[in-house]
Amino acid sequence: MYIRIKNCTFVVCVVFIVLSAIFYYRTFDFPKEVGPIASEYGSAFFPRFLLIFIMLICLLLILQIFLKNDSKLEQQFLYFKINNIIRVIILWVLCLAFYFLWKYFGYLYSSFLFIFAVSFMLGVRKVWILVFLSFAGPGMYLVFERLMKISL
Amino acid sequence: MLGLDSAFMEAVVQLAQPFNVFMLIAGVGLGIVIGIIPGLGAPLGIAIALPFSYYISPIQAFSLLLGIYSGAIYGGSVSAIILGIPGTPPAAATLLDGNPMFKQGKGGEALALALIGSVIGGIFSTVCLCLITPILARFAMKFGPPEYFALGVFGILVVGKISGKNPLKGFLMGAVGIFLTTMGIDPVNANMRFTFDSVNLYAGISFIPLLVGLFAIPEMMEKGEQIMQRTTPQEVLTARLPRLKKLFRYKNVFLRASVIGTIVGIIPAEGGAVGAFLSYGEAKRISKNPEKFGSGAPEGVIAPETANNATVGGALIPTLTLGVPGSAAAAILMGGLMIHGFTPGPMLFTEAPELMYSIFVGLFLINIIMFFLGILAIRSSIKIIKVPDWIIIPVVLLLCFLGSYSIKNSLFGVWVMLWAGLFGYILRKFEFPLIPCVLGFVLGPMIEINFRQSLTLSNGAWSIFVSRPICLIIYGLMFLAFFAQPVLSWFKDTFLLNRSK
Repeated sequence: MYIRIKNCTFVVCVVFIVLSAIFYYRTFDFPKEVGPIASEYGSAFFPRFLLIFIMLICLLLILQIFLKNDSKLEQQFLYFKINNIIRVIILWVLCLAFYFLWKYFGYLYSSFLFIFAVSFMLGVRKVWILVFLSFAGPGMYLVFERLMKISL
Repeated sequence: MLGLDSAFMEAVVQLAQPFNVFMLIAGVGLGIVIGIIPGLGAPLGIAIALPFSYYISPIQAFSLLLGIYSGAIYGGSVSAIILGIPGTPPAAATLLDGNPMFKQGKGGEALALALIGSVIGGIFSTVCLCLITPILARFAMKFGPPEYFALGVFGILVVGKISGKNPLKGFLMGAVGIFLTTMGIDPVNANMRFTFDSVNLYAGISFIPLLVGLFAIPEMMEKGEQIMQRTTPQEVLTARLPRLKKLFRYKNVFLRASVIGTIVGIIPAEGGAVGAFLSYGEAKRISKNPEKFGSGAPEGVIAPETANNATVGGALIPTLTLGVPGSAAAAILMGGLMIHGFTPGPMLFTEAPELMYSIFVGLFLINIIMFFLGILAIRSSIKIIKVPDWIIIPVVLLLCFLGSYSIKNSLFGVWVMLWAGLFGYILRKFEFPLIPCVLGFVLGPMIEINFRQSLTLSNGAWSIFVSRPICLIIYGLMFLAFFAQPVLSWFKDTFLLNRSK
């Protein structure tokens, strides 16, 4: 089963325009500088220049979408298989979960659980393979802590 | 400061150290394995290895990273020939004749020709690197802030134009990449910008977590969409090295492909894939038997493989001398130089001559090591290709986490990596190219600092950007890069076709 998304470019451009506007507003909080050059071309100038450029490019992209003729309309659609998207979302959520587990419970156990969960999600069902592979996480702990002297 | 002769000797002595030799061999070996496994590739391999290279000396780090770069470009040809799936984008041209040769029972010959072509192309471009970089560096000494600004913009615009189907998307991502570098302390006035009162953002966004997030995470997420079952042949392959007499017959193909690959590598962001296809097309055009291309012509393997490895040395020429990367992998290597405290550009020859010489000598050694390891890799290629995604994905993800954490011993890097990965995946799916964003991030500080210094020098007059001869040459090249093709097409359609009628 597929989901069909139209005008992905339009959505991305709108998001970029909104974010650019927010960041542009934030530039007014930058400290004011003194001096003829510094006051005009100070800390805020270059970011504002870029943000205006980003907004202009987004507007041009949106204009490009509306100027496309009907025969090219089909090209504005992108098709995504629902099962694939669900797998990706689960994978990313597992990565996020690993981040929080590492933050609050430390690297050693959370890495073991992370590899276990990701391998299981990718279709590994034999317990001995899951456990063996999961020891890669604690194995990295030895490499980093003992050999490279990087505290995890 | 070391004299050049003593810098050269220092570089050779350093490279001869046992650990450095190990780094060269390990880099090439890792690179070949990364190249053989479809879907990984040189930029990903370098991105993952980069954070770990921080803990070794710069010479050792670049031995490892350059080994991965060269090895991965060659390794892609192995799965292209055996499976008909290019291990890396530059190997896409190799499969056109390589896979048919394999199906005709000439797999060993195809693999051997690919290996020899890669080594010859790599050595040729290394010689060009050694000869051209000192000359270009001397020329680049005349550059001032307006020239560096023009060069940075040129690099971003060219990359944006050629990445993806829509140049506007490339320009947008380039601008986003440059914008991300404005977060943190202003490099000119030391004011805080876009830090949102977070201590973690005072130093800005780190390069490694962003790079790993944009390159590696989307790649692994795409692999995770569908677990591929790769069917592989059962027999053990060996490289059938052709006789020297037979190789000599192809000398013109080797030479032409080496030149094309080196020149393509010099052009910003034109990487191995473009060089390979251009060389393939040229070999077919000049061949006495062009009809054989596509059904197992040996020249169809030699040309792209020689060219794609020749882009390695070519890409390093503008990277080291001008600070404008010649390919995506070179952009990441440039980030690596900065992490180790070096500023790419002409001053690198005076500030770190032993590093420069170690890169030159190291690349020679890498190509020689690649020949021997390549023969071994061919025998093990079937086993390497069989490594399942359920091993690759969790291990690579774990390395991404560790790499992003290890740079500053902070989980904030991991946080940046995760969100960069999510946005990178979404943008990739919506056909927004990510390489311009990485290049924008690498070149952003150079562009901003030189832009503001130029205006300070000229007391705010913008004419400084168009009044200097070197700037005008760079803008001229920009014009050619953008408008030469449409103008030539219009000229051809308007005048030549009308004349023929």
